[in-house]
Amino acid sequence: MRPDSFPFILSAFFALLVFFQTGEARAHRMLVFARLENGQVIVEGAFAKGAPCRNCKVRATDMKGETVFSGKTDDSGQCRFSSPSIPQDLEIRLDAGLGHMAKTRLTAREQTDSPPGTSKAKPKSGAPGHATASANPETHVEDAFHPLSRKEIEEFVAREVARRFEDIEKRRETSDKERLQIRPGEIVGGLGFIFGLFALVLAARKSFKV
Amino acid sequence: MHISEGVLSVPVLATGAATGIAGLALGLRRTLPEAVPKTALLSSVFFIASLVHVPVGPVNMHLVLNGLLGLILGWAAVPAILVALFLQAVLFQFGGLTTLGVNLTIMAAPAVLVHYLFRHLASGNRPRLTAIGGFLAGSTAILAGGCLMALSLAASGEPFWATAKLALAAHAPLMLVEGVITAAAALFLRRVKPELLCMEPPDAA
Repeated sequence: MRPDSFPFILSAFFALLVFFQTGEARAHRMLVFARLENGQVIVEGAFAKGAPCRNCKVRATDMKGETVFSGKTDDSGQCRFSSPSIPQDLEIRLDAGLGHMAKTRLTAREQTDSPPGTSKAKPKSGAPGHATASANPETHVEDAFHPLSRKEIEEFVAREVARRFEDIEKRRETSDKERLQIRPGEIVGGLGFIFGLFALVLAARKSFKV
Repeated sequence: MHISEGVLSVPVLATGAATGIAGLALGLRRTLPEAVPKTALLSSVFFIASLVHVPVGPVNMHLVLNGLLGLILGWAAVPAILVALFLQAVLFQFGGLTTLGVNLTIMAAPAVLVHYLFRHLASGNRPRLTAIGGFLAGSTAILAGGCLMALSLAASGEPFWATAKLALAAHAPLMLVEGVITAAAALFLRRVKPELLCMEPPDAA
């Protein structure tokens, strides 16, 4: 075998490695989200590029440091548990192992402010006026043929608030996930910083003849 | 290989910081002015390498290349890795500022180790020796880094053997990948700039 052929053999070996299988992903940057939905705390973890954090340990503690819940995320990177009967601040840690960890806080206020049955509950159908309003969010209540009772108006408002609340939550999560993406400007800036710093070191050494 | 904030205990963080500072002092002292440009260049390589995600089967792993830095730079790898780690923590949230010392120790100590272990082999008089030296430098640096990481996590309360097994399983494919890349890089450098591998340039030989 000629020595010149080594790089090609090594490159081929490297290409073959690509198809080998390993265990868990160990991407670094992680985010954890927590929200309350239908009386359940939903924890969701994601790595950079939006890959779900599968089979990661989840631990929720109260402010005294006592464990309220511990479990693992499923294949979609989610984990659910019943919210405490009395709303309290929770610190939620997501541990992907080997030093990869992220945490977030779900405050008591967020738990009490969450509208009942945040958006997942399907609207009832069949009630006059009510069905029209919920099926098409653009439809105004005044368009209904029959006047709505106080209870129906309350239910309608609750559902609308819940829907908006969910939109805001989704937008916040999307914005957080976008923060995970690495921008070219950061890379170029980092490279500039490195060369600038070492150039300064070199200049300082020459000036002070270290 | 970067440990996040909030995972390690305070004594481990303090030990890592002390080791990192000591290593940095030695590294700066042993970095000659003429080695500064290549230190900056390899610091950039290390900084960028973490962004190169290699698809290994269904998952992604990222390069570290501390073995390559160690092989070429020796002690100068310590400041090179520190600058890159700092920027990775600040810009990409890889690792963290409080864990900078521990992460520096985990990645720079193996770099210096492989320099002493495999530099002579990599600068041997046959390309085959360079390839073997490069491969061993790349893979050993990852193995040693994984062991140091397991040790740091174990010292912070996690069970050592379970963590070590997990670290080995997670890093075994990366050891092969880094070994191959370091070997290929060493062979390339041998051909185009042998003095980087502490070898005499062809015209001087």
